[in-house]
Amino acid sequence: MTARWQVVRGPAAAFARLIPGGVLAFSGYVKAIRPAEEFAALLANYWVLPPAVLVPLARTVPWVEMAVGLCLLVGLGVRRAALAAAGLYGVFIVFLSQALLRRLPMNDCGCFGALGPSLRPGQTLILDAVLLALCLFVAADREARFSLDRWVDPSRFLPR
Amino acid sequence: MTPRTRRAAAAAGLLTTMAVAVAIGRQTPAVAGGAPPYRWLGPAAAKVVLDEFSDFECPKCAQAQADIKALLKAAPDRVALVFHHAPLRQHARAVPAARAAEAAGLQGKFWEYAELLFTRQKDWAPHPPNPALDSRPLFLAYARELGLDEARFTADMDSPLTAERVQQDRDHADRLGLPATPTVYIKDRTLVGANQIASLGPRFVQWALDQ
Repeated sequence: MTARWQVVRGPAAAFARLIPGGVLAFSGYVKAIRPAEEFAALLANYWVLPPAVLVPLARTVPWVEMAVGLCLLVGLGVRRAALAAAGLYGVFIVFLSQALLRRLPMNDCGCFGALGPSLRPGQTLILDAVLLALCLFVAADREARFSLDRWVDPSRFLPR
Repeated sequence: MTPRTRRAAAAAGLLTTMAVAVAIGRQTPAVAGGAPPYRWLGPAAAKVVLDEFSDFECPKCAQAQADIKALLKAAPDRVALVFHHAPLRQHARAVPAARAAEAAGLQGKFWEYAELLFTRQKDWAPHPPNPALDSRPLFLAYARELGLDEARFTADMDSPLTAERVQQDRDHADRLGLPATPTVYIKDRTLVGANQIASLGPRFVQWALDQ
């Protein structure tokens, strides 16, 4: 690794975590403010989950997305939040891939509920893959620049 | 402050921020009002009003009709149904069908006409779509079948007032951010799609009646 990359890596990771974090926080928020049944109906389009779990899941997932997204945005528990976000994007990719493979008739991935931008499953698959890669890049970074983690426990980041 | 205290304080701050933001942004659909009396089915002083948003050309809406009517039967003296047009833009015949139903409503036969449109949907709106099919003669035939005044029906179907009523409903649906058709609102709860209406509808109606 070049010395130059060592210098820019920390700020780059700090910037990179804003993208998956912002997307997660926004997608969670636009779903959390609407009736959970709307998101449940979008989840039903994937034909994966049993009907009984759709509404409970639709009530929970937006809050998890928001929490993980906000943690990434402000840099609280950066590494864990990045791994959690990577896990979420991984699950989304699995859902989208099976929908595409089964050629399910879906015009909207449902990622932003009924309120946000409408993306086709194929578009979202590419977006999620990029966001997953960014999360892994952030998780591999130990510096956690411009993060709350540095305020929470500065001793972790002292030069050795 | 120890790192543990700081972490707890930061987490609490984040959770509070989330809760406040969601509470401020929470969108409870303001559905009530806007429908003429002939689109109201059930007692005028009903305790629970089901606001249905449907598109006559949508197969799922046709599928949901039996389940929606079953919700009314839960407490016929306390539950009413209001129909709102939500013609989807990809359905070329949805607006003409809604206008025909309005014209039937002006002669007191909205619900009967709506039932005909849903039960015979495959005749006037076949899937896959047949662009050559003219659905207007079928709409007139349904009006004749119900004993409606044909000249008045035709005039009402083509009148700007009918067009405006359908458009008002469509605008209403857009303002609500209607996620799909059919959607039924019960107080501040929402049922999206035929499956939810069938599976969750009875529970939601009971909840509304118990309030």
